[in-house]
Amino acid sequence: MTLNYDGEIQFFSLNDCDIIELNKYLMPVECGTSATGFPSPADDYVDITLDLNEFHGVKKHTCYLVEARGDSMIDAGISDRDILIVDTTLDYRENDIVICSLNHFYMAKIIRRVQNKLFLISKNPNFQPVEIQESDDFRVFGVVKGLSRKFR
Amino acid sequence: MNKWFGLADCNNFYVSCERIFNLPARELPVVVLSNNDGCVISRSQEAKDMGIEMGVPAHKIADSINKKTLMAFSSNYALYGDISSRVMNCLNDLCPAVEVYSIDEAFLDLSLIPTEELFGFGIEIKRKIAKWTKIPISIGIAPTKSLAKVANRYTKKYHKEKGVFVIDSNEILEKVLTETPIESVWGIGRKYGKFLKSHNINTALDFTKLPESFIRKYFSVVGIRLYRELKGESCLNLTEVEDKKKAIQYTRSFGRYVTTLSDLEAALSTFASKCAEKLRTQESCANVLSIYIRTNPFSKKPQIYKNITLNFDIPTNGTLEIQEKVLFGLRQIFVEGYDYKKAGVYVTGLVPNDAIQGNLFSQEPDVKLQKISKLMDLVNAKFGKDTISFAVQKSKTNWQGNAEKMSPKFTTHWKDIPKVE
Repeated sequence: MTLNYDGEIQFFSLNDCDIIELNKYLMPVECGTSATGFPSPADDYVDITLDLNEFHGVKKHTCYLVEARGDSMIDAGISDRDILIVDTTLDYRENDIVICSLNHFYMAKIIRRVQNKLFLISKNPNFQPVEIQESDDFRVFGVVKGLSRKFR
Repeated sequence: MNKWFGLADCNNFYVSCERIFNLPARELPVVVLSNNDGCVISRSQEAKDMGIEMGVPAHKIADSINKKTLMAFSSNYALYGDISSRVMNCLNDLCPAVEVYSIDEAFLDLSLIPTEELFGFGIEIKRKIAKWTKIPISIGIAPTKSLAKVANRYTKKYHKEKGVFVIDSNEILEKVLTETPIESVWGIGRKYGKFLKSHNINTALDFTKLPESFIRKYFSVVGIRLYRELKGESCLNLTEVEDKKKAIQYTRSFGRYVTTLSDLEAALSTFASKCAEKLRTQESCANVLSIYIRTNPFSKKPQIYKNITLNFDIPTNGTLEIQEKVLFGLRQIFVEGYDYKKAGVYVTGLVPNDAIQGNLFSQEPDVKLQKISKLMDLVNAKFGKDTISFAVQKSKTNWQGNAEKMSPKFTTHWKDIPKVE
């Protein structure tokens, strides 16, 4: 199973090199292939699929994937090169990690209101909070709902 | 019960797509160039204000681009196609019924919404689409599809800030029709616009004031339908593509390894004609085309996978048009020196034949090509597959140097996804 350039999961079947292309994250759980005539009680559930979109509670058309760079959010569990799952439909709440743009840069940060000022907070003691000035172009792109990481 | 139709149209769609992830592009005038970086096909408001016209050749604006007072992008159809499907799916979540009309337009069935709530409903759709997809849209709402189209144009011209306009009374209808030049009415086009102007019919209102006998004399049934629709009588319903396939593909593994461009050209033009045939069978036209070529992943030889996504200017199901685009795409992605094992052609962004944006009166944009395609289908059905096919010609165009300013495929390629710190 490999990830191809389209982000689809491909399964290479054994008898030829034709590729069965499935929807992103879709994993069929196969069980109970019985050639002996006695059907497995699990056969009824053969079409159950586990879908990571469903697990993260995102719809494909309102979810964007972005890649984390650096370790400014390391204490929130986000490492360099993690793929962040961003939902654009949510209204952000206190302590949400958001993808936002401050002037010309996209970043993953926590927004915190202190008295009447807004700050962008990193989750790493080496990073100072950044105050959002009135003159800044600041926009929230979406809320980070989860992440994906490869170990090998 | 009253019928209500909305037309949701993405503002400067290609430019808006580029601005999602390219933040500096939000602060500069921006244009998107056609295939080959030939001419301007989408402009931001700021670019329009600079006086840059649609279709202007790229070399005429090269000076501004070099001075960095104008930002230009090569067309990135993989991005536009993905963002388009996001917008359409979101509209589907928000509205009772949606007809995808083109890459950046959709008709909405709003009949279930109480009349006094239509404007607020439109504003809410606009706000959500902007938040969810980052694409600004305008919505025109009216009792017929043709009037929704008129209302949408009116929104963009006179109610830009709000972005929503409803034709919900006869007074408003009359005012809007007065301010709509006849040639900008959906389906009238330049030729009929000229003809009508020569009869002193200059606005949409003038057109609706004509006696029906005049329309019957000079126009087809399509013209009569438009006439009635502009008067507020709904004749066109939402065409949903539900039961038809949303995409058609044709892919095959080759019996032997294919190494030359000309062999791939032959194979892919066959696939293209199969796709065109299937499209015609289900009476759909395609907006978007993708092709790929790949080596055998099980062989130990050098591996390659290449794909490209392109857009049709006008949705099509013509064999010749699809073949042309496939061959153009193939030349962009072909790399010599590999043993190719598999290739595929994939068409999507399907719209029903009768919903094609062209000229309502002169019917489809290229009747000749349509006739050729239909004839081919007939002959091939009668005498067996591939009795007639197109000879694949090599193009003399030099494709080098095009798409120099292409943005990354932010939403469709892993290596291109946006980076955040």
